[in-house]
Amino acid sequence: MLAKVNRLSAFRTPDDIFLTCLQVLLVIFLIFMNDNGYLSIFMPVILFPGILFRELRSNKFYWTFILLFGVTFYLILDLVGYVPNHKHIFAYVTLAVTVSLFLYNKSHGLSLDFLKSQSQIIIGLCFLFATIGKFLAPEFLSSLFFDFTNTTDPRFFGSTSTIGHVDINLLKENEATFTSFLKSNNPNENFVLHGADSIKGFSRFLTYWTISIEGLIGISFLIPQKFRLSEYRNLFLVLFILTTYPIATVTGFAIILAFMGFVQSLEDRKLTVYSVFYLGVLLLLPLNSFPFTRLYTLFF
Amino acid sequence: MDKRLLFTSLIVPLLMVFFLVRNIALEKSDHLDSWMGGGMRMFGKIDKMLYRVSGMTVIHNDSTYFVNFRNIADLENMDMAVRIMPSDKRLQRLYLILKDMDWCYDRSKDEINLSTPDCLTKISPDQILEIQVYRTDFNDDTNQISFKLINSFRGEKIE
Repeated sequence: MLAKVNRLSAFRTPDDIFLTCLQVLLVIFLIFMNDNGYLSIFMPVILFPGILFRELRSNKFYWTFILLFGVTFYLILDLVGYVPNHKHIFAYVTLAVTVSLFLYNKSHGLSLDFLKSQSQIIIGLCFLFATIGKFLAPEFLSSLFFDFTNTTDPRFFGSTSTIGHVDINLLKENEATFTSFLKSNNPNENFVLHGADSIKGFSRFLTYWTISIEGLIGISFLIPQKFRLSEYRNLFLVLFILTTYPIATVTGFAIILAFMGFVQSLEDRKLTVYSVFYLGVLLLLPLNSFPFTRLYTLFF
Repeated sequence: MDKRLLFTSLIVPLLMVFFLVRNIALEKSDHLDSWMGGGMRMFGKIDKMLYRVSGMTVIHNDSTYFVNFRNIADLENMDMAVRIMPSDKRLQRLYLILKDMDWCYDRSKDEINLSTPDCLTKISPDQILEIQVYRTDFNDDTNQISFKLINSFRGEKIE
Protein backbone atom coordinates (compact mmCIF):
# COMPACT_ATOMS: atom_id res chain seq x y z
CA MET A 1 0.00 0.00 0.00
CA LEU A 2 2.85 2.33 0.94
CA ALA A 3 4.49 1.75 -2.44
CA LYS A 4 1.22 2.66 -4.15
CA VAL A 5 0.95 5.89 -2.15
CA ASN A 6 4.54 6.77 -3.04
CA ARG A 7 3.68 6.34 -6.72
CA LEU A 8 0.86 8.89 -6.55
CA SER A 9 1.64 11.99 -8.59
CA ALA A 10 1.65 14.14 -5.44
CA PHE A 11 4.46 12.10 -3.86
CA ARG A 12 6.43 10.56 -6.77
CA THR A 13 9.62 12.63 -6.51
CA PRO A 14 11.12 14.85 -3.76
CA ASP A 15 10.06 17.83 -5.88
CA ASP A 16 6.48 16.56 -5.91
CA ILE A 17 6.48 15.95 -2.16
CA PHE A 18 7.94 19.37 -1.38
CA LEU A 19 5.45 21.16 -3.63
CA THR A 20 2.57 19.11 -2.22
CA CYS A 21 3.68 20.07 1.29
CA LEU A 22 3.68 23.74 0.32
CA GLN A 23 0.27 23.35 -1.29
CA VAL A 24 -1.16 21.74 1.86
CA LEU A 25 0.39 24.50 3.96
CA LEU A 26 -1.19 27.19 1.80
CA VAL A 27 -4.58 25.49 2.12
CA ILE A 28 -4.15 25.41 5.92
CA PHE A 29 -3.32 29.12 5.88
CA LEU A 30 -6.30 29.83 3.64
CA ILE A 31 -8.60 28.18 6.18
CA PHE A 32 -7.06 29.53 9.36
CA MET A 33 -5.29 32.83 8.64
CA ASN A 34 -8.39 34.98 8.99
CA ASP A 35 -7.96 36.41 12.49
CA ASN A 36 -8.69 40.01 11.59
CA GLY A 37 -9.99 42.21 8.78
CA TYR A 38 -6.62 42.60 7.07
CA LEU A 39 -5.90 38.87 6.96
CA SER A 40 -9.47 37.96 5.97
CA ILE A 41 -9.25 40.28 2.98
CA PHE A 42 -5.67 39.85 1.82
CA MET A 43 -4.78 36.23 2.56
CA PRO A 44 -7.24 34.59 0.11
CA VAL A 45 -5.99 36.93 -2.64
CA ILE A 46 -2.37 36.04 -1.84
CA LEU A 47 -2.84 32.34 -1.15
CA PHE A 48 -5.12 31.21 -3.98
CA PRO A 49 -2.60 31.77 -6.79
CA GLY A 50 0.04 29.84 -4.84
CA ILE A 51 -2.32 26.92 -4.37
CA LEU A 52 -3.03 26.84 -8.10
CA PHE A 53 0.41 27.50 -9.64
CA ARG A 54 3.49 25.38 -8.85
CA GLU A 55 5.91 28.04 -10.08
CA LEU A 56 4.57 30.64 -7.69
CA ARG A 57 4.35 28.14 -4.83
CA SER A 58 8.08 27.51 -4.99
CA ASN A 59 9.05 31.16 -5.33
CA LYS A 60 11.06 32.46 -2.37
CA PHE A 61 9.79 36.03 -2.72
CA TYR A 62 6.20 34.79 -2.68
CA TRP A 63 6.90 33.09 0.66
CA THR A 64 8.69 36.18 1.95
CA PHE A 65 5.49 38.11 1.26
CA ILE A 66 3.39 35.57 3.20
CA LEU A 67 6.01 35.62 5.96
CA LEU A 68 5.58 39.40 6.31
CA PHE A 69 1.91 38.89 7.19
CA GLY A 70 2.67 36.00 9.54
CA VAL A 71 5.44 37.86 11.37
CA THR A 72 3.44 41.10 11.65
CA PHE A 73 0.20 39.64 12.98
CA TYR A 74 1.45 36.55 14.81
CA LEU A 75 4.86 37.51 16.19
CA ILE A 76 4.91 41.32 16.46
CA LEU A 77 1.27 42.15 17.26
CA ASP A 78 0.71 38.91 19.16
CA LEU A 79 -0.13 40.56 22.48
CA VAL A 80 -2.63 43.03 21.07
CA GLY A 81 -5.34 40.64 19.92
CA TYR A 82 -6.16 37.00 20.48
CA VAL A 83 -3.28 35.05 18.93
CA PRO A 84 -3.27 31.43 20.11
CA ASN A 85 -0.05 29.43 20.20
CA HIS A 86 -0.62 27.59 16.94
CA LYS A 87 -0.62 30.92 15.08
CA HIS A 88 2.95 31.41 16.24
CA ILE A 89 3.68 27.99 14.76
CA PHE A 90 2.17 29.16 11.45
CA ALA A 91 4.76 31.95 11.43
CA TYR A 92 7.62 29.58 12.38
CA VAL A 93 6.71 27.11 9.62
CA THR A 94 6.43 29.93 7.07
CA LEU A 95 9.84 31.15 8.18
CA ALA A 96 11.29 27.64 7.81
CA VAL A 97 9.84 27.31 4.29
CA THR A 98 11.18 30.75 3.29
CA VAL A 99 14.65 30.01 4.65
CA SER A 100 14.69 26.63 2.90
CA LEU A 101 13.86 28.29 -0.43
CA PHE A 102 16.54 30.95 0.02
CA LEU A 103 19.09 28.33 1.03
CA TYR A 104 18.51 25.83 -1.73
CA ASN A 105 16.65 27.80 -4.41
CA LYS A 106 15.46 25.16 -6.90
CA SER A 107 16.83 22.05 -5.16
CA HIS A 108 13.53 21.01 -3.66
CA GLY A 109 14.90 17.78 -2.26
CA LEU A 110 17.31 19.73 -0.05
CA SER A 111 14.59 22.23 0.86
CA LEU A 112 12.44 19.26 1.90
CA ASP A 113 15.26 17.92 4.12
CA PHE A 114 15.61 21.33 5.78
CA LEU A 115 11.84 21.60 6.34
CA LYS A 116 11.86 18.08 7.76
CA SER A 117 14.52 18.89 10.37
CA GLN A 118 12.85 22.21 11.23
CA SER A 119 9.47 20.50 11.67
CA GLN A 120 11.04 17.99 14.04
CA ILE A 121 12.64 20.77 16.11
CA ILE A 122 9.43 22.85 16.23
CA ILE A 123 7.37 19.86 17.42
CA GLY A 124 10.05 18.96 19.98
CA LEU A 125 10.30 22.49 21.39
CA CYS A 126 6.50 22.92 21.47
CA PHE A 127 6.07 19.86 23.63
CA LEU A 128 9.13 20.59 25.73
CA PHE A 129 7.78 24.09 26.49
CA ALA A 130 4.33 22.64 27.21
CA THR A 131 5.95 20.27 29.73
CA ILE A 132 7.97 23.10 31.32
CA GLY A 133 4.74 25.14 31.48
CA LYS A 134 3.07 22.40 33.47
CA PHE A 135 5.83 22.47 36.07
CA LEU A 136 5.31 26.23 36.33
CA ALA A 137 1.63 25.73 37.13
CA PRO A 138 1.07 24.32 40.64
CA GLU A 139 -2.65 23.89 39.96
CA PHE A 140 -1.83 21.57 37.07
CA LEU A 141 0.48 19.39 39.15
CA SER A 142 -2.16 19.10 41.89
CA SER A 143 -4.81 18.01 39.29
CA LEU A 144 -6.87 21.10 40.09
CA PHE A 145 -6.68 22.19 36.47
CA PHE A 146 -8.40 19.05 35.24
CA ASP A 147 -10.96 19.08 38.10
CA PHE A 148 -11.94 22.50 36.79
CA THR A 149 -11.65 21.80 33.06
CA ASN A 150 -13.48 18.45 33.16
CA THR A 151 -16.51 20.12 34.71
CA THR A 152 -16.60 23.47 32.87
CA ASP A 153 -15.30 22.80 29.37
CA PRO A 154 -18.03 21.18 27.22
CA ARG A 155 -15.41 19.30 25.17
CA PHE A 156 -14.75 17.15 28.24
CA PHE A 157 -18.35 16.60 29.30
CA GLY A 158 -18.71 13.29 27.45
CA SER A 159 -15.73 11.69 29.21
CA THR A 160 -16.57 13.31 32.56
CA SER A 161 -20.15 12.07 32.56
CA THR A 162 -19.11 8.58 31.43
CA ILE A 163 -16.12 8.07 33.71
CA GLY A 164 -17.21 10.15 36.71
CA HIS A 165 -20.90 9.16 36.46
CA VAL A 166 -21.82 12.84 36.59
CA ASP A 167 -25.21 13.82 35.20
CA ILE A 168 -24.49 15.60 31.91
CA ASN A 169 -27.27 18.11 32.68
CA LEU A 170 -25.36 19.21 35.78
CA LEU A 171 -22.28 19.75 33.63
CA LYS A 172 -24.31 21.78 31.16
CA GLU A 173 -25.59 23.79 34.10
CA ASN A 174 -21.95 24.44 35.12
CA GLU A 175 -21.23 25.70 31.62
CA ALA A 176 -24.24 28.01 31.56
CA THR A 177 -23.55 29.38 35.05
CA PHE A 178 -19.88 29.95 34.20
CA THR A 179 -20.79 31.78 30.99
CA SER A 180 -23.14 34.17 32.79
CA PHE A 181 -20.62 34.47 35.69
CA LEU A 182 -18.04 35.86 33.23
CA LYS A 183 -20.56 38.51 32.12
CA SER A 184 -21.51 39.44 35.66
CA ASN A 185 -21.51 43.03 36.86
CA ASN A 186 -20.71 41.86 40.36
CA PRO A 187 -17.06 40.89 40.95
CA ASN A 188 -17.98 39.45 44.35
CA GLU A 189 -20.20 36.80 42.79
CA ASN A 190 -19.36 33.10 43.16
CA PHE A 191 -20.92 29.72 42.48
CA VAL A 192 -20.31 26.07 43.27
CA LEU A 193 -19.20 23.71 40.51
CA HIS A 194 -21.07 20.40 40.22
CA GLY A 195 -19.26 17.12 39.79
CA ALA A 196 -15.66 18.15 40.52
CA ASP A 197 -15.48 15.72 43.48
CA SER A 198 -16.58 12.77 41.34
CA ILE A 199 -13.75 12.95 38.83
CA LYS A 200 -10.69 13.46 41.01
CA GLY A 201 -9.18 10.09 40.05
CA PHE A 202 -9.74 10.76 36.34
CA SER A 203 -8.25 14.25 36.70
CA ARG A 204 -5.16 12.81 38.37
CA PHE A 205 -4.80 10.26 35.56
CA LEU A 206 -5.14 12.98 32.92
CA THR A 207 -2.53 15.10 34.72
CA TYR A 208 0.06 12.33 34.80
CA TRP A 209 -0.78 11.18 31.29
CA THR A 210 -0.46 14.68 29.82
CA ILE A 211 2.87 15.39 31.47
CA SER A 212 4.25 11.97 30.49
CA ILE A 213 3.19 11.98 26.85
CA GLU A 214 4.12 15.62 26.23
CA GLY A 215 7.46 15.16 27.98
CA LEU A 216 8.21 12.02 25.96
CA ILE A 217 7.34 13.76 22.69
CA GLY A 218 9.48 16.78 23.60
CA ILE A 219 12.52 14.69 24.47
CA SER A 220 12.22 12.12 21.69
CA PHE A 221 11.91 14.80 19.01
CA LEU A 222 14.89 16.79 20.26
CA ILE A 223 17.48 14.17 21.15
CA PRO A 224 19.91 13.00 18.45
CA GLN A 225 18.86 9.98 16.39
CA LYS A 226 21.59 7.81 17.91
CA PHE A 227 19.44 7.53 21.05
CA ARG A 228 16.91 4.71 20.92
CA LEU A 229 14.10 6.89 22.34
CA SER A 230 14.24 8.99 19.18
CA GLU A 231 13.01 5.99 17.15
CA TYR A 232 9.72 6.03 19.05
CA ARG A 233 8.97 9.71 18.52
CA ASN A 234 6.28 9.13 15.91
CA LEU A 235 4.64 6.50 18.07
CA PHE A 236 4.38 8.99 20.94
CA LEU A 237 3.01 11.70 18.67
CA VAL A 238 0.43 9.35 17.14
CA LEU A 239 -0.61 8.30 20.65
CA PHE A 240 -0.93 11.94 21.66
CA ILE A 241 -3.06 12.80 18.61
CA LEU A 242 -5.32 9.76 19.08
CA THR A 243 -5.87 10.40 22.78
CA THR A 244 -6.16 14.17 22.64
CA TYR A 245 -7.98 15.43 19.60
CA PRO A 246 -11.15 13.32 19.76
CA ILE A 247 -11.74 15.11 23.12
CA ALA A 248 -9.83 18.40 23.28
CA THR A 249 -10.60 19.68 19.82
CA VAL A 250 -8.17 22.42 18.85
CA THR A 251 -8.35 22.08 15.08
CA GLY A 252 -5.84 24.83 14.25
CA PHE A 253 -3.14 23.32 16.42
CA ALA A 254 -3.97 19.75 15.38
CA ILE A 255 -3.76 20.55 11.68
CA ILE A 256 -0.37 22.28 11.81
CA LEU A 257 0.90 19.52 14.10
CA ALA A 258 -0.28 16.88 11.60
CA PHE A 259 1.40 18.83 8.81
CA MET A 260 4.73 19.01 10.62
CA GLY A 261 4.31 15.39 11.69
CA PHE A 262 3.90 14.45 8.03
CA VAL A 263 7.01 16.33 6.89
CA GLN A 264 9.30 15.08 9.65
CA SER A 265 8.19 11.46 9.24
CA LEU A 266 9.44 11.22 5.64
CA GLU A 267 12.39 8.90 5.18
CA ASP A 268 14.77 9.17 2.23
CA ARG A 269 12.29 11.73 0.87
CA LYS A 270 9.58 9.07 0.71
CA LEU A 271 6.39 8.54 2.67
CA THR A 272 6.38 6.16 5.64
CA VAL A 273 3.48 4.50 7.46
CA TYR A 274 3.53 7.44 9.89
CA SER A 275 3.42 9.95 7.02
CA VAL A 276 0.27 8.25 5.75
CA PHE A 277 -1.22 8.40 9.26
CA TYR A 278 -0.51 12.15 9.57
CA LEU A 279 -1.92 12.67 6.10
CA GLY A 280 -5.04 10.79 7.21
CA VAL A 281 -5.28 13.07 10.27
CA LEU A 282 -5.03 16.11 8.01
CA LEU A 283 -7.87 14.81 5.84
CA LEU A 284 -10.06 13.63 8.71
CA LEU A 285 -9.68 16.66 10.96
CA PRO A 286 -13.06 18.13 9.98
CA LEU A 287 -14.52 15.19 11.94
CA ASN A 288 -13.12 16.90 15.02
CA SER A 289 -16.42 18.65 15.52
CA PHE A 290 -18.17 15.28 15.69
CA PRO A 291 -19.27 14.64 19.33
CA PHE A 292 -17.70 11.17 19.70
CA THR A 293 -17.89 10.95 23.47
CA ARG A 294 -21.43 12.28 23.63
CA LEU A 295 -22.44 9.76 21.00
CA TYR A 296 -20.83 7.04 23.10
CA THR A 297 -22.88 8.06 26.13
CA LEU A 298 -26.01 7.96 24.01
CA PHE A 299 -25.55 4.27 23.19
CA PHE A 300 -23.79 2.89 26.28
CA MET B 1 27.38 21.07 8.92
CA ASP B 2 28.53 24.33 7.39
CA LYS B 3 28.20 27.58 9.34
CA ARG B 4 25.53 29.02 7.05
CA LEU B 5 23.29 25.98 7.44
CA LEU B 6 23.90 25.86 11.19
CA PHE B 7 22.98 29.53 11.56
CA THR B 8 19.82 29.25 9.47
CA SER B 9 18.79 26.07 11.30
CA LEU B 10 18.94 27.95 14.58
CA ILE B 11 16.72 30.90 13.60
CA VAL B 12 13.37 29.23 14.38
CA PRO B 13 14.47 27.45 17.59
CA LEU B 14 16.02 30.66 18.94
CA LEU B 15 12.83 32.58 18.15
CA MET B 16 10.81 29.94 19.99
CA VAL B 17 13.07 30.16 23.03
CA PHE B 18 12.81 33.96 22.94
CA PHE B 19 9.01 33.80 23.00
CA LEU B 20 9.02 31.30 25.90
CA VAL B 21 11.36 33.51 27.95
CA ARG B 22 9.29 36.59 27.11
CA ASN B 23 6.11 34.73 28.08
CA ILE B 24 7.51 33.79 31.50
CA ALA B 25 8.93 37.28 32.10
CA LEU B 26 5.76 39.14 31.09
CA GLU B 27 3.61 36.75 33.10
CA LYS B 28 5.56 37.72 36.21
CA SER B 29 5.92 41.45 35.48
CA ASP B 30 2.75 42.41 33.59
CA HIS B 31 0.29 39.59 34.38
CA LEU B 32 0.36 38.18 30.84
CA ASP B 33 -1.97 35.23 30.35
CA SER B 34 0.40 32.24 30.42
CA TRP B 35 -1.44 30.68 27.46
CA MET B 36 -0.67 33.66 25.24
CA GLY B 37 2.41 35.22 23.69
CA GLY B 38 3.75 32.09 21.99
CA GLY B 39 5.10 30.47 25.15
CA MET B 40 3.54 27.15 24.00
CA ARG B 41 2.72 26.36 27.62
CA MET B 42 -0.85 25.36 26.74
CA PHE B 43 -2.75 23.25 29.32
CA GLY B 44 -1.43 24.44 32.64
CA LYS B 45 -3.04 27.33 34.45
CA ILE B 46 -6.74 27.89 35.01
CA ASP B 47 -6.11 31.60 34.66
CA LYS B 48 -6.43 32.52 31.01
CA MET B 49 -7.78 35.56 29.23
CA LEU B 50 -10.94 33.73 28.24
CA TYR B 51 -11.73 33.35 31.94
CA ARG B 52 -10.66 36.85 32.95
CA VAL B 53 -12.98 39.76 33.49
CA SER B 54 -12.09 43.40 33.02
CA GLY B 55 -14.26 46.29 34.05
CA MET B 56 -14.47 49.63 35.81
CA THR B 57 -15.99 50.82 39.02
CA VAL B 58 -18.23 53.88 38.98
CA ILE B 59 -19.52 55.84 41.96
CA HIS B 60 -23.11 56.91 41.59
CA ASN B 61 -25.66 57.89 44.27
CA ASP B 62 -23.28 56.73 47.02
CA SER B 63 -23.17 53.25 45.48
CA THR B 64 -20.31 51.58 43.64
CA TYR B 65 -21.21 49.99 40.31
CA PHE B 66 -19.05 47.56 38.34
CA VAL B 67 -19.21 47.69 34.53
CA ASN B 68 -18.10 44.43 32.95
CA PHE B 69 -16.45 45.30 29.63
CA ARG B 70 -17.64 42.01 28.11
CA ASN B 71 -21.07 43.62 28.00
CA ILE B 72 -19.86 46.72 26.15
CA ALA B 73 -19.51 45.85 22.47
CA ASP B 74 -17.62 49.08 21.66
CA LEU B 75 -14.83 48.04 24.03
CA GLU B 76 -14.39 44.52 22.63
CA ASN B 77 -10.81 44.97 21.37
CA MET B 78 -9.62 46.94 24.40
CA ASP B 79 -11.30 44.50 26.76
CA MET B 80 -9.43 41.66 25.06
CA ALA B 81 -6.11 43.50 25.18
CA VAL B 82 -6.32 44.16 28.93
CA ARG B 83 -7.47 40.63 29.63
CA ILE B 84 -4.49 39.25 27.69
CA MET B 85 -2.03 41.47 29.57
CA PRO B 86 -3.41 43.83 32.23
CA SER B 87 -0.21 45.83 32.63
CA ASP B 88 -0.24 49.24 34.35
CA LYS B 89 0.50 50.85 31.00
CA ARG B 90 -2.47 49.24 29.25
CA LEU B 91 -4.83 50.02 32.11
CA GLN B 92 -3.67 53.64 32.17
CA ARG B 93 -4.25 53.98 28.42
CA LEU B 94 -7.73 52.45 28.71
CA TYR B 95 -8.56 54.64 31.71
CA LEU B 96 -8.09 57.78 29.61
CA ILE B 97 -10.23 56.35 26.81
CA LEU B 98 -13.01 55.47 29.26
CA LYS B 99 -12.99 59.00 30.65
CA ASP B 100 -13.57 60.32 27.13
CA MET B 101 -16.58 58.08 26.54
CA ASP B 102 -20.15 58.98 27.44
CA TRP B 103 -21.65 56.82 30.17
CA CYS B 104 -25.15 56.67 31.50
CA TYR B 105 -26.96 55.32 34.55
CA ASP B 106 -29.80 53.03 33.49
CA ARG B 107 -32.38 53.25 36.26
CA SER B 108 -34.53 50.35 34.99
CA LYS B 109 -31.60 47.92 35.14
CA ASP B 110 -29.74 49.71 37.94
CA GLU B 111 -26.50 49.56 36.00
CA ILE B 112 -24.07 51.79 34.14
CA ASN B 113 -23.95 51.51 30.36
CA LEU B 114 -22.76 53.45 27.34
CA SER B 115 -24.81 56.56 26.85
CA THR B 116 -27.62 56.70 24.28
CA PRO B 117 -29.47 59.81 23.02
CA ASP B 118 -32.35 59.11 25.43
CA CYS B 119 -30.10 58.87 28.50
CA LEU B 120 -31.62 60.59 31.52
CA THR B 121 -28.76 60.35 34.03
CA LYS B 122 -25.35 60.99 32.52
CA ILE B 123 -22.23 59.83 34.33
CA SER B 124 -19.46 62.40 34.60
CA PRO B 125 -15.82 61.33 34.03
CA ASP B 126 -15.07 62.10 37.68
CA GLN B 127 -17.40 59.31 38.76
CA ILE B 128 -15.20 56.71 37.05
CA LEU B 129 -13.11 55.36 39.87
CA GLU B 130 -10.95 52.43 38.86
CA ILE B 131 -10.23 49.86 36.17
CA GLN B 132 -10.03 46.31 37.51
CA VAL B 133 -9.03 43.00 35.95
CA TYR B 134 -10.01 39.77 37.66
CA ARG B 135 -9.10 36.16 37.07
CA THR B 136 -11.23 33.11 37.73
CA ASP B 137 -10.28 31.33 40.92
CA PHE B 138 -11.27 27.75 41.70
CA ASN B 139 -11.19 26.44 45.26
CA ASP B 140 -10.84 22.67 45.12
CA ASP B 141 -11.94 22.17 48.75
CA THR B 142 -15.26 23.95 48.41
CA ASN B 143 -15.62 23.61 44.60
CA GLN B 144 -16.35 27.32 44.59
CA ILE B 145 -15.57 29.54 41.63
CA SER B 146 -15.00 33.22 42.33
CA PHE B 147 -13.08 36.21 41.00
CA LYS B 148 -9.66 37.27 42.22
CA LEU B 149 -8.23 40.70 41.45
CA ILE B 150 -5.09 40.64 39.27
CA ASN B 151 -4.45 44.34 38.71
CA SER B 152 -6.24 47.65 38.99
CA PHE B 153 -5.65 51.28 38.07
CA ARG B 154 -6.91 54.49 39.64
CA GLY B 155 -6.63 57.87 37.97
CA GLU B 156 -4.40 59.30 40.67
CA LYS B 157 -1.55 57.13 39.40
CA ILE B 158 -1.34 59.17 36.18
CA GLU B 159 1.76 61.36 36.21
